[in-house]
Amino acid sequence: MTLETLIPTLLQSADMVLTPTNLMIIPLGLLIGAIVGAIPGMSAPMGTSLVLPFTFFMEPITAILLLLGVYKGGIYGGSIPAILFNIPGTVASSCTTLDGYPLTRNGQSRKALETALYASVVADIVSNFVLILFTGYLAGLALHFGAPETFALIFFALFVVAGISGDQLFRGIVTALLGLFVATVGIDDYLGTQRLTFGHYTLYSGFSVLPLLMGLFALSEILHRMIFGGDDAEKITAQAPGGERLRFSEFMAILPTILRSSLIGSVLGAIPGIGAAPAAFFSYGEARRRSADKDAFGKGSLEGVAASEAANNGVCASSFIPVLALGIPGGTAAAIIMAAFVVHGISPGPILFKTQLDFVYALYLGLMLGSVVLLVIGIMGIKVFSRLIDVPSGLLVPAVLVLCILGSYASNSGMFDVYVMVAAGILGLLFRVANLPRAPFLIGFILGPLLESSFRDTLLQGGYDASIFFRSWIAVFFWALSAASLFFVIRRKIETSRQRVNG
Amino acid sequence: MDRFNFAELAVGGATTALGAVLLFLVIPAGIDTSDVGRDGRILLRPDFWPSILALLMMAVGASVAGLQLLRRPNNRRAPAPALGKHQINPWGIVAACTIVVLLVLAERFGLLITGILIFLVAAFSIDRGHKGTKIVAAIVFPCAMIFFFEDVARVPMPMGDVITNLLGR
Repeated sequence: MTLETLIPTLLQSADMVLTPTNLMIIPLGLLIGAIVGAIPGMSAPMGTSLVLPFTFFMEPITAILLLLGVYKGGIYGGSIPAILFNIPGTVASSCTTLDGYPLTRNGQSRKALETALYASVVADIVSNFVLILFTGYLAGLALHFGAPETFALIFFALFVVAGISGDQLFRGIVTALLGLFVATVGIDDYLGTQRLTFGHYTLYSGFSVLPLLMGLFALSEILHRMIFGGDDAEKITAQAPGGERLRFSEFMAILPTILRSSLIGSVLGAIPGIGAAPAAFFSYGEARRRSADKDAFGKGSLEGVAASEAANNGVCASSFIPVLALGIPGGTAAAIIMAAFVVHGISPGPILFKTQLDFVYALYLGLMLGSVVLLVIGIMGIKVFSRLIDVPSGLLVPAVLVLCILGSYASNSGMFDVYVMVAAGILGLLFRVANLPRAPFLIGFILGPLLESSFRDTLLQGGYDASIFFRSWIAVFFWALSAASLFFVIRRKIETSRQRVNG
Repeated sequence: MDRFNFAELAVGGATTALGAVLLFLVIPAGIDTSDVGRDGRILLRPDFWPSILALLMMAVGASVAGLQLLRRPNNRRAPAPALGKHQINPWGIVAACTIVVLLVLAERFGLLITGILIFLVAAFSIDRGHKGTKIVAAIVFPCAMIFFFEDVARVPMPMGDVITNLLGR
C-alpha cells in the first residue's frame, strides 16, 4: 500500500471510530466488562455473550468496539477481587491471587491494584501493537505451534509450582499432583469414556474452575477465621486505608517484567487453545526465574502481580490474530466476537484486509483508544476499590461469603457448583491446617487438561514415537527452559540443605 | 543432612497411601476400560493419565517418607512447629457447621433466604459489633446480588418454596 492510499484509508477509519456514539460505547463496554469481571462467577466471555444481543442493531464498528471493551474490561476486572479478597473474578486472574492477596494482607492493596492496572494497560498497548504489526507473522507461528509445542510449554509452566512452594517443595508437588488428578474427572475426550464421574451427569464436564477456586481460597480462609479466630483479617483492617500508592521507581523496576510478560501474553494469545490462565502462569514462572528477589514470589511480589496481569491482558488483542488472519477464533471470547462479525456481514479472515481495510484500521484505532480509556476508568475505580478492604470484617467477610455462593451458582446455573465450592472450602481448610500449599493444587487443576490433551495429541500425531516431543525449535526451546528450571530447583534445594546443616 | 521431621514423614506416608487408594481402588472403580480393545494403546487408555498421576503421588510420598526414615537414626528432630498458635473457637465450629447445613438446604429455601441467613451467621460469628448495620446489610446485600444475577446477568436464581409461594410465581 502506498502513502497516497494509506492516509485516506486511515482518515476514513478515524471517521468511523471517532463518532460520539463510539466515544461513549468504548468506556461503557470497559465499565461493563470491569464490573462483570470483578463479580465471581461471571467471566469475560460471559460478559461478551450477554452484551452480544444488544449489538445486533448497532453499526458494525460500534458493535465490535463494545464487545472488545467488555472483553478487555472483563479480563482486567478479574484482578480486583483476586487482589482484595483472594477470589479470582475470572480464571485468567487466578495467578494474580498468588501475590495480589498477600500484598493486600500486608496492607498494600492499593499498590497491588495499581500494579495490576498499569501492567494491564501496558500489556494491552503492547498487544495492540503486536496485533497491528505482526498479525501475519504470528499467524504463521500459530500454525507451527502444535501439540508437542503446547505440551513442552505447559510442562514448563508447571515449574511455577516449584517457584511458589519455596521450602515446601515436596508439599507443593503433592498438592499439584492432586490438582492434576482432580482435573481428570469428566468425559474422556478421545474415547468418550466416563472418568471418575461415578454416574453423576453433573461431573461429565468435570469440576468447574471458579467454584473450586472460590472454595479453596476464599471459603477456606473464612472458615479458618471463624474456627480458629482471625489473625489475618485483622491485619488487613489494621492498615492505613488502601495502603500507599505505587511509586514511580517501583513501576520502573517492574517495567521490564511487564514488557516481557506482555510479549509472552501477546505471542501465546495468538495461538488458538492456549488461553489467558496458562499464559499468566507461564509468564509468572518466567518472571520468577529472572527475578533478583525470587523468594518474594508467592508472598506479595509486585513483579508477580505484574507478570500475571500483563500476560493475561496481553492475550486480549492478540487472540484476534487468528480471527483476522486466518478466520479462526483463538478463544471463547474471540469466538463470540467473531460471531458478531458474521452477524454484521463481515467475513473474518485474510479477505478482510482486501475488502474492508478501513474497518480493520478502525478496529485498531478503537483498540488503542480502549487502552487509554481503561487506564482512566481503572484509576478512578482504584480509589473506590482500594477502600473496600477498610469495610469492617464483620460485614466484609459475610459479603464475600454470599458472593462466593451466588457466584458459584451462577457459573453453571446449578447447585452442584455450590456444593463443589463447599467441598473445596473444607479441602482448603484441611490444607491450611496441615500446612499444605493451596496454589500448586490450583495450578495443577488449571494446566492439567491442556497437559493431558497435548500429550495424547502428540503421541497420536507422532505414531507413538517419542522423538516428536522434540520435533521443532519451539518445543526444544521450552524443553531447554524446563531443564534450566529443574537445574535451579535442584541447586536451590542443595543450597538450602547446606545452609540448614551449617546454620 | 537435614533433621528428622515427623510431619514430613506423616505427609509422605499419607500421600503414598492416597496414591495407592486412587490407583488400586478409585481408578478401577471409576474408569471403565472395557471398551478399549485389545489393540488399544496403553498411552491412550482413559485410565492411563490418572494412573500415572496416582503412581507419581505414591513415588513422591514414598521417597519423602523413606528419606525421613533414613534420617531417623540421627535422632535429631527438627524443631516442632509452634502448637497452640490458634485457639479453636467452639462457636466458630457451630457457625461453620450451620453455614454448611444452610448450603445443603439451599435448594429448598432458595438462595435469597439462604444468603441472608448465612450473612447473619457469618457476621455475628466474627464479631458482635455493628448489629443494626449487619442486619440491614444481611438483607440488602443478598437482595442486590440476586437482583443483579436475575435481572442484569439473566441467570435464573433458585428462590425456594417459601419465596415462590409468597410471590405466587
